[in-house]
Amino acid sequence: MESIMSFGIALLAAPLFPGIILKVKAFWAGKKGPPLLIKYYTFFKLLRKGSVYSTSTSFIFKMGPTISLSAAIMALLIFPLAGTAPVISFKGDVILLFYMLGLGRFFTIAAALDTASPFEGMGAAREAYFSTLAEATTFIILVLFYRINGALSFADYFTGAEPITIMGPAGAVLLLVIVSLFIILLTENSRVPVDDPATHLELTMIHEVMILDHSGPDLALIELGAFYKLFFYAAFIAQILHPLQLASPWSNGLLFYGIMSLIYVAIGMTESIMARYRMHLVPKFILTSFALVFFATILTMGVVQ
Amino acid sequence: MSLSSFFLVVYEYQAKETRKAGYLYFIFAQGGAMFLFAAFALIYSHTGNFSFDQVASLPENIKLIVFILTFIGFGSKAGIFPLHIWLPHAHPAAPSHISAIMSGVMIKMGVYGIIRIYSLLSSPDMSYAAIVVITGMITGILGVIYALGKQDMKKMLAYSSVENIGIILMGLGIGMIGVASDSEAMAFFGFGGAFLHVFNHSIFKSLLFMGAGAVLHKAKTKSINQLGGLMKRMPTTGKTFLAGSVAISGLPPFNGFVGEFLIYFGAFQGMKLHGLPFILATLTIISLAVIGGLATACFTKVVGLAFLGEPRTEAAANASEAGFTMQLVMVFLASACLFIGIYPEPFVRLAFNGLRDLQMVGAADPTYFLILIRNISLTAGLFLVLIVTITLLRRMLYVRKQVDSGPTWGCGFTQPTVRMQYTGTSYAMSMVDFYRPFVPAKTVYTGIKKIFPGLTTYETKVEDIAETSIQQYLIRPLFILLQKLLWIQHGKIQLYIAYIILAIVVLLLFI
Repeated sequence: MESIMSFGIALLAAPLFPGIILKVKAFWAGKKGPPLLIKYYTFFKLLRKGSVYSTSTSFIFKMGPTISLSAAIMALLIFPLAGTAPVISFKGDVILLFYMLGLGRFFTIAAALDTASPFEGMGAAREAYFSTLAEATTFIILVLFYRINGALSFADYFTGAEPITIMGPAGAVLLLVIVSLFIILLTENSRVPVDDPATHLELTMIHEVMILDHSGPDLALIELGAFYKLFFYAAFIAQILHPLQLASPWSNGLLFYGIMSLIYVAIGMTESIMARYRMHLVPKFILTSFALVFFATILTMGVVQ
Repeated sequence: MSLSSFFLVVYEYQAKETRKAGYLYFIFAQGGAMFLFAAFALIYSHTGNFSFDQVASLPENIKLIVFILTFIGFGSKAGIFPLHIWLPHAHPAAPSHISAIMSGVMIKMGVYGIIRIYSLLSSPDMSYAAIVVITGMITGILGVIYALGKQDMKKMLAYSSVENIGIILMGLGIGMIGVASDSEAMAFFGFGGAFLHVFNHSIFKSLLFMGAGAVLHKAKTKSINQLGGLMKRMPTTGKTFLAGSVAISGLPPFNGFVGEFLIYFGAFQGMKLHGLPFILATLTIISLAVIGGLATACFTKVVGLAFLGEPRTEAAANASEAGFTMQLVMVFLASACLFIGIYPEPFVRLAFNGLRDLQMVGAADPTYFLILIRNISLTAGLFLVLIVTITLLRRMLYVRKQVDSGPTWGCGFTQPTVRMQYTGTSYAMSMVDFYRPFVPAKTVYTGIKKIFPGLTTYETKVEDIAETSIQQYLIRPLFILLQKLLWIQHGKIQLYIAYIILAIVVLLLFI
């Protein structure tokens, strides 16, 4: 029951956090910025609208938003949020989760290619390329976690005798993981410096250009899916940062959401002080994250032997 | 088997390309058989008979040589790197349903041979595992990158078979590591996953080859860069091809995921080990992840560019749906992919039952492992329910809404043509570029030279490094050497008879 409530809260709260990013960016730019609830307003505005479909598109174009949203919701169902147990948990669920997100990506790319637009094709090619690199980092992180506490499910990562937390004995190694997870978060969610969600030129976009032709409720579903996906990655980092399990679920939840807000602030700060990389630098940026965790894994080998 | 399938490959013998492919296939099949004969000769020289019973009693170093020889022999049939080069020639040359059998079933006989010999040798040594895993990784990763670089649908599917053989070998290798290091779970999941993937691959690869065949038949081309918009013209072929593509990319809730999941799970068991087995298991996990990502890129390319968007040529625009019986088969195979993905239990049980004959794995109770599979099954079911719910929700959101249709937004450009769509080459280029040293891409660009430029051409082609290097470092020196001996073959029949007499005389001396 607690898990389902926590899951529900996450579903409702996820669109709030991107508002924090906008606020932080506005603060750095010396502006007032949009209201914190801006993403809710946009969401409901989009829901009220109709849609325009390109004559080139087929049913895939309409399936894309549905499946990417479903995959993102599955991710939140499997992940332990705010110190509660996840709704679904079994051995090996981590693999399933990342493959679910892969399925969402498959259909987002297919929907983009469905429009016959060269711009969207370009965005799709970049998304496919960068995610193959990010996937390698994700799985080496799973390898490292298995080394640290011998679990293969999110629920077991953060509970049990040797939870994965920055305060634990493996904390120093986890610092590297946090940095590389942050890089993966930026990559997978199309944030600066990999992609600029606020850019004005289609040629330089990755994710935004893929959804150019989506409108109305379809676009709302895509945006919601994107919020959930970002929320999942942020929660992943937050759980590692989570210092200790508190007795009361309420204070646990508060602590969790506090850390979450800090992560979103960090994203906003990154976006404020950095510009988007040129495309050929992005693979190097992503591979940096791989190198970090690979190094961390080698460190654990030394510790164990 | 090699002989009969040779005739299947050269079925359309009128085309020069097909004859060349058949010839290449023949060479590799016979060359592979040579290695097998060498292995059996070696066994015979030690045991004194051709029975498999005494193979286990060979000395360890001989066992290893036997295994390597048979691995090369069966591997050339299965299509391991770099002995795969016949595969992307022979499979596209054969008629599509033959390619379906060849890719789906026949190359698996090579895998069977490898497992069989391994089990007969019954030598739990890490070196076997290392050979198989490393070959599997190279085969898998390079296979999928070449698949990404190819614009011919059937060639791409052939390379994707190479990739899947790589995944299967990785599974087997994980199983062998499990046997070598007494990790029962690892052995179980590695072998079980490999067996299941053999079965799964035969289903979705057959489906995809049949889909490609239907496209070739109706649109008269198999080049992705000339297709497009087939989803509207061939809806059943398109939808089943989509299902096959999701399955082969190893994505849930389809069957490809279940096999890969088992291999992953086996590999993760290896994280508890130290030294070489740990490194091999880690590399397997990373390779599987990279292959998964690249396979998604590869199959979104085919689905997205051949079936979606606008047709790039007249022929593609005039394509029509395949015949009813063809549709029936494809629908059946596509539903099998989904069914196994959602309800994998009996099939996983089947795969685990296959392990009983591998004496080295031991007889662990598979029910413990089946709990895991039930969980996947449950989650896949839940995921489908979620999709259906959101689809219904989406439909509700569109009730009494204004829905218009218009052209795709051209980002301000007012004169778009279908030729401006992204092509398979452009889609794959940045990814292929990343693996440049292993995947050389040749670009031919005539360039603009005059003030009033004439017609220019630009062509990019991905070349198989195994093919070019075998040509350059093996065939060409051999050819030069043999050319020096050409004087023996002069066409004078009297001298040929003299050769024969001379040979007989020399042989008589030995009696």
